[in-house]
Amino acid sequence: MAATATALRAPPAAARNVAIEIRGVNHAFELDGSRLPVLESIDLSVAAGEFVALLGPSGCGKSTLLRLISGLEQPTSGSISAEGSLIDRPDPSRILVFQDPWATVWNNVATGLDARGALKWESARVDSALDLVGLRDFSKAYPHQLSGGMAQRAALARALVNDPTLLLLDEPLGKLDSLTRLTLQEELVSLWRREGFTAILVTHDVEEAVLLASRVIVLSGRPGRIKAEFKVERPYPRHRDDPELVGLRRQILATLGLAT
Amino acid sequence: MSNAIEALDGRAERSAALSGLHENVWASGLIAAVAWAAAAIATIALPDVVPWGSDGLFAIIMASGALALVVLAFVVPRLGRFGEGWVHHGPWLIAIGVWLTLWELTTAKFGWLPKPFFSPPNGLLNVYVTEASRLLICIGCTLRLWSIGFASGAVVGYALGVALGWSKSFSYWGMPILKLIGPVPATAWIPCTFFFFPTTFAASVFIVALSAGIPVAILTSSGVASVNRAYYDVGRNLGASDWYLVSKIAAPASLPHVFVGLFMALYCSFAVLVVAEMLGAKFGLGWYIQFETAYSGYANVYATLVIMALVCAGIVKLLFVARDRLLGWQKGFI
Repeated sequence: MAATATALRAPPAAARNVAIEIRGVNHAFELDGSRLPVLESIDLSVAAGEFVALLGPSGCGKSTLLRLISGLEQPTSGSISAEGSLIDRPDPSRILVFQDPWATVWNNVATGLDARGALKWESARVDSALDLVGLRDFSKAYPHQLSGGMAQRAALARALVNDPTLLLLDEPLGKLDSLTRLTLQEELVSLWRREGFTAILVTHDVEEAVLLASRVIVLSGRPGRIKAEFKVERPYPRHRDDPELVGLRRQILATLGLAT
Repeated sequence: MSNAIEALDGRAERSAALSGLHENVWASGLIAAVAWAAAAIATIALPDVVPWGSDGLFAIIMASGALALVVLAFVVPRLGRFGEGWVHHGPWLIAIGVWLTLWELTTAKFGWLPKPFFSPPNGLLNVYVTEASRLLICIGCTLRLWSIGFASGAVVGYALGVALGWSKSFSYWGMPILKLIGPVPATAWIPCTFFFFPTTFAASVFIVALSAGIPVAILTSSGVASVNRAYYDVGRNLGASDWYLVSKIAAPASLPHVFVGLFMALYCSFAVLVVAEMLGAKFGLGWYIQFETAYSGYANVYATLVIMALVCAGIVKLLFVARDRLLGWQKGFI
């Protein structure tokens, strides 16, 4: 027990982020007895500490790919591994960020530590995670008392308190109003730069993808296949009106078949 | 400007009229006092068709009520927030006075609703006066039987419901059985209970527990089954064991359904109390109702029904308080 405690308190520097290897992944759903392929021959390497955005039309399997990487589901064929070891079950080091808070903010953020029986000696980490996302003053608030942006911050804190090496973000800012979205985009980038985790973001918003990610992967419509890949080599912090980003955005939209 | 002020005044007057407040007098209070006094006068002044007893006491109670209402009519406008409660319930106080007057007239005074099938309000009062000690014992016995039965039924029903909602194999075997047992009236179990239980009290407890447990089990299982799947994914992702998912996520998240089940269980268990107390009980409200029905003591039956209704309403109120305490966080979701 003591060994676990120290391991949780001081994660080794090497474990701050993780490289992901996706090899020949196909995935299909069974719907009323018929097979519905959602992902086809996906090959993707994500370097440790990289920020990758997945773009694509809705229903192309982006969210499914995140679930597969998290280990909540297994691919029909192919393999996904983290630092060489196969992902065959969910693990608190790889967190898929959901936006469904329950209980008070503090208790909700504490879920991971509580579930692993570490809350007793690790409760201070809940407070520091709340500090990290600026929700310390709302630790006793209930879901209905939070704005959309706060609920999203709470979801981030619930993930970050576990010191994840990989953060999987499924349209985390999709439901927010545009001003809150801009603020949270900046916060997300600065969290990533400070904490050093590997991040994979699913989004519909091309501008968001080029603003946040160091690499943008474009998927085709269902079944999802990797259609194109764009490196975004601008330094952070970035500005959305940076002409290079604007140009890149136009290029990506063209790939998606949306721009003239 | 002055027009605006006049308009405001007009509105204030109208709202005062609506709430029954006129120039520092609570009008509804005065009307209620008249109605209550009418009940008292009708009871004293008119001759009875058949004597019922306690008419003097009833008249005194109504007359003191009327007197108190007259005083309140002048005091309430000066009470501030405490007075608002009285003003709010004013129409009900009037209705109660009118209702009691009509009830007294149609039964004891004119005999349109004859003895023994109907009883005037003072007839019920007479039951409370003459049978007070026996009724108190009955209330105690019934509450003991009900609370043991309801609590054990709710606990077992909740545990069963969580298991049914969570485990596929448990639900495969359990759900059909529950659906078969559910509609069977509690009385049908009496022969078995006599065989299986050592004492008649235990058998009665079982019947109350069964009637309370079934709605709790059914609603808990549907509650657990309908918990947002994302909660489970979050839990699994964060390293939660199955036991943690059941106890810390499924069970609390199903509480809104559980409370609906508890409310249904409350009514079901009260309904079977009478049956449960047929099993050789010596005291209890249900037993008392049967006993008096057999002797055509309908006034006693009505008086006991009023007590049961009040006890049940009190417990419902407690359950609401408990629910609001426990489910505060789910505001906005339910």
